[in-house]
Amino acid sequence: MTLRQLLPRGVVLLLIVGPAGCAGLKPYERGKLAHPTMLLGDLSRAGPAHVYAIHEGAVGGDSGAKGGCGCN
Amino acid sequence: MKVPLVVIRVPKADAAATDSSCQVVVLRCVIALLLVLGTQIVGSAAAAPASQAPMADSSTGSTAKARKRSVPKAKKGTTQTRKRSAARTRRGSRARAKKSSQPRAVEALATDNARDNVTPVTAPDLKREEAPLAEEEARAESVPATSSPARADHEPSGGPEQPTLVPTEAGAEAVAEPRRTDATTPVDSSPRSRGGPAAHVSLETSGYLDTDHVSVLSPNISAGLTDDVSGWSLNGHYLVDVVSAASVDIVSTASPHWTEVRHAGGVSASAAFDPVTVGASAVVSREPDYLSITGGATLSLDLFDKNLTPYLAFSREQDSVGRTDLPHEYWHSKHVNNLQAGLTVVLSRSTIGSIQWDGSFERGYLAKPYRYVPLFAPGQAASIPAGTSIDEVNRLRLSLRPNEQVPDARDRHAISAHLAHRGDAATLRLDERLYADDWGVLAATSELRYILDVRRRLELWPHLRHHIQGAARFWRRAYEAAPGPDGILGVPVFRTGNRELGPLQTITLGGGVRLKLAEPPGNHWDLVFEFDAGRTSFGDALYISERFMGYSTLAVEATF
Repeated sequence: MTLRQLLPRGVVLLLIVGPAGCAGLKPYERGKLAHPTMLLGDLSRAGPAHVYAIHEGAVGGDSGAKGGCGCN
Repeated sequence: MKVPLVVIRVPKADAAATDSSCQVVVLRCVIALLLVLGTQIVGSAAAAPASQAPMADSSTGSTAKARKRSVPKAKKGTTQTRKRSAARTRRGSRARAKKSSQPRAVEALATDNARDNVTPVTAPDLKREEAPLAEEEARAESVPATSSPARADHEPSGGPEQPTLVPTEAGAEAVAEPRRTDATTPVDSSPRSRGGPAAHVSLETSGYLDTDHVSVLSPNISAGLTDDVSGWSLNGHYLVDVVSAASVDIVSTASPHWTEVRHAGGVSASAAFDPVTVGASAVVSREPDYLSITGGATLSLDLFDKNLTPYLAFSREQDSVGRTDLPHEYWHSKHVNNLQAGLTVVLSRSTIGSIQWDGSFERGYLAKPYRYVPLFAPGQAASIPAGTSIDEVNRLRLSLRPNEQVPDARDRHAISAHLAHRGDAATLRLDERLYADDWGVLAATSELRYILDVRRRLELWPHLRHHIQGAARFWRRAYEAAPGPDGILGVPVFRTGNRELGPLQTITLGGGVRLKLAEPPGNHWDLVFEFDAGRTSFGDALYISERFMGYSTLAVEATF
């Protein structure tokens, strides 16, 4: 993979954060944001997150394999 | 959902196919663009007057747990539930009118507590409230929520056959007073309803199996206490990995099939001192040939009414790496400093996003002590194709087979963006990560989940993940011995057989289901099952060119 190939993925990333701008919501306007599925943490459970971290050459973005790998 | 179907068409990841992944990436850009446009449209709709917002949105802000309780109730869809919800909303409006001089956050908590303290309305009460509630629901669609105090002054009085509750200040006072309880209506007497800490426990078992003859069984237990009102939490987890392997790496070195057990446990805690939240965590992991101890701290800051939350995290990992047949004093050491900085932004009433940088700085022994690298005669490597079998490699390689050796420092960086959008009965999650390190590895990872509320107690979600990466600078499919000036063959300084440092591509497709066995009032019990299947294509590796894997998790979660 080269930097040139990584560029389109950068565009995807920018599209995700592109609309960033404070909505300025009051607490009572956040009914939907309080839904459990809206928490921005890694939705992968501990097991799958560990597998991804071991099987991929990349780390970060909330999925890591802290504490050994069981595959040394 | 057509998105997964589009992405599945990613070609096999050989060196050339990796180039062609650009086509897929462009398609993904278009999908992401459509997604964001859709998000913006929905966000604009949500920004319309509150009169068009659902009743749940017009309720005063509350803790996450309290909202979580209220959302399923609103979804019940029965007339009675909607009326109760409307009554609560009206009471909340009165409480706001009375306490308009207080800060909004305090007001929200006060109203929420009042709501929690209200005992269910008796049947006669409901009859008496039915007609005015229907009227009020209708009015709520034309009057902005912010006009609640004025609305109270203009409520019409009902006719004789339509008794009306007159909304007065005394009425707001009465909300907090004990009322008769209907024997048929359950009362939420859990600690959460009283504003105390909630305890949660999760038991899960995961199983992993792949075509490289590796299997893992991993039971895991986690538990914790959380007090959303006071803003503190305390959590712990413990897991066991039972790994059984006879992979090509093991077979190629004529090692026997082995089974290993890893134990890992950790604790974490956090506390909020408005607007700052601090946290700390520690993890210890031990297996026969690896010991790891990690400690970390987090800091976040709530700005602009919690619409903007920057955060920082730091952790240090201290590892000892060895072999089961080596005394501990001969083990190697390794340490990792992890830094994380990010920003969470509320984009609209139904959308939240974040962007994050992760830095991981590894120092020490970064190779695998069991891994040996086959060497070939000068000029021979080009004739060794990807996926060459173990027998063929053993026939062609030199007798010399050195240990893996990689640089003793690695700086790794990742930028990731996360987006969550909540529709009427579904949540869309989109994650993108770009990665680069000073070994020359570049990678991109995309993940998508669409969590659908099929029924009030049933959630289903498809899951798609795509990872693609390039090779490290010193990666070679086949390493050649290098002749020295004196004619003696030497070995390359850096050599590795770690396929995760070579070019690869993984597509994972799966899903999950969450069945809510019991909901508040009372305790909360969930049963969760997830299954993922994946295929990894190794574009430039010996022994193996692809690997299929399956992963499943069964979990029971409870909150008391």
